[in-house]
Amino acid sequence: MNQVAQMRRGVLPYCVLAMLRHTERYGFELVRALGSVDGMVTGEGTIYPLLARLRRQGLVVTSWQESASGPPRRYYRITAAGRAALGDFMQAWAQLRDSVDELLDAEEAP
Amino acid sequence: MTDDELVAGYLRRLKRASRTLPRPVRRELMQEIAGHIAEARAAGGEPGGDGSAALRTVLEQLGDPRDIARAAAGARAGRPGGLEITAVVLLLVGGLLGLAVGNLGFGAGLVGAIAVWLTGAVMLWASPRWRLSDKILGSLVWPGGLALPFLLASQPAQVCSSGSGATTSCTGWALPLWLGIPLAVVLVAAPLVVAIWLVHRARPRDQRDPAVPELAAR
Repeated sequence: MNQVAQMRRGVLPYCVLAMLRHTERYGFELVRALGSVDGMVTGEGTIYPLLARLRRQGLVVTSWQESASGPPRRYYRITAAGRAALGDFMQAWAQLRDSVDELLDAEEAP
Repeated sequence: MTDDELVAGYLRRLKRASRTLPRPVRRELMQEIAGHIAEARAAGGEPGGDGSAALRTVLEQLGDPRDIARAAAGARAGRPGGLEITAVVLLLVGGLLGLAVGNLGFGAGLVGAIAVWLTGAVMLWASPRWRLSDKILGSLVWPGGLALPFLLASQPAQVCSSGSGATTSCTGWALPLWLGIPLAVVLVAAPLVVAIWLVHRARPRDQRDPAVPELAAR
C-alpha cells in the first residue's frame, strides 16, 4: 500500500504538468480535477505545496487573475522547461509501462 | 459550530502545524488553502441550510493540516543540504582554518579568518532552510566561531616580575580563574551548541517519506 502511495506521489507532479499542457488553470480547479481521478490523491491540500514547488523549479509560472465570482485566483501556466520535463517523463513512462506490462503478462501466462 | 468557526479552526490548526516553514512559504500555503475553502464554499451553493455537512466534506478532502504542512516541509526540503552543511562547517571552524593558513605565512590570518567566516554567514542567510530567528542566532553567537576562544587562549599569558622595592610590573593579560574558566567553556560550547541546533533545524523534516518527490534534475 505504501509502495503504491509512493509511486503515486512520484508521478503526481507530471500529472499536474499534463493537466496544464493545453490550458492554464487555477489551483482549486486543478486540485478538484486531480481529486476526481480515482486513487490519484489522498489529501487535496497536499497538492498546493506541490504546485509551489513546481513554480520554484520553474516548471510552471503563476499569475493572479480576477474572478467573476469572488476573490482573485492564482493561475498556473506550464513553462518551456515544464513541457520539456513532461516530454521526458512521457517517454520514460511509456517505456516503463510497456516493460512492466510485458513482465507481468509473461508471469500470468500458463 | 458555525461554518466560519469551522473554517477558522481548520486554518488555525494549519497555521500551527506549519510554524516551522519559512515565512513566505507559510504565507502562500495559508493563502492557497484559505482560497481553496472559499472557492469550495462558493461552488457549494447556498450558505446556511445544510452548509456544515458540505463544509466538513470539503475540509475532510483537504486532509489533516499536519499532512499538508508536512508536504510543504518535504517539498521545501528536497535533497540533503550541501549548502547548509558547508555553511555550518565554515561558521564553526572556518575562522580557525583562516588563522592556520595565516600562520603558515599566506597573508594575514585574521583577514582570512574573517573572510571565511563571512562566506559561511552569507551561505547561512542564503539558505531557505533556516528561519529568520535561526539566521540571527547563527550570526550573533558566532563572530568567528571557534576562532574567537582560540585567539583569546593564544594570547601571551600574564607575566609578572617583581622589581626593586614594592613595585610589580605585569605584561600580557589575565582573567581571574573564576571568570576565565566558565568564560572559556561558554566560548567553546556556544558555537558547538548552535552548530548542532542549526544542523538539526536544517534537516529536512520527514525525509524518509517526502510527500512531494524531487523532480529529476534536468
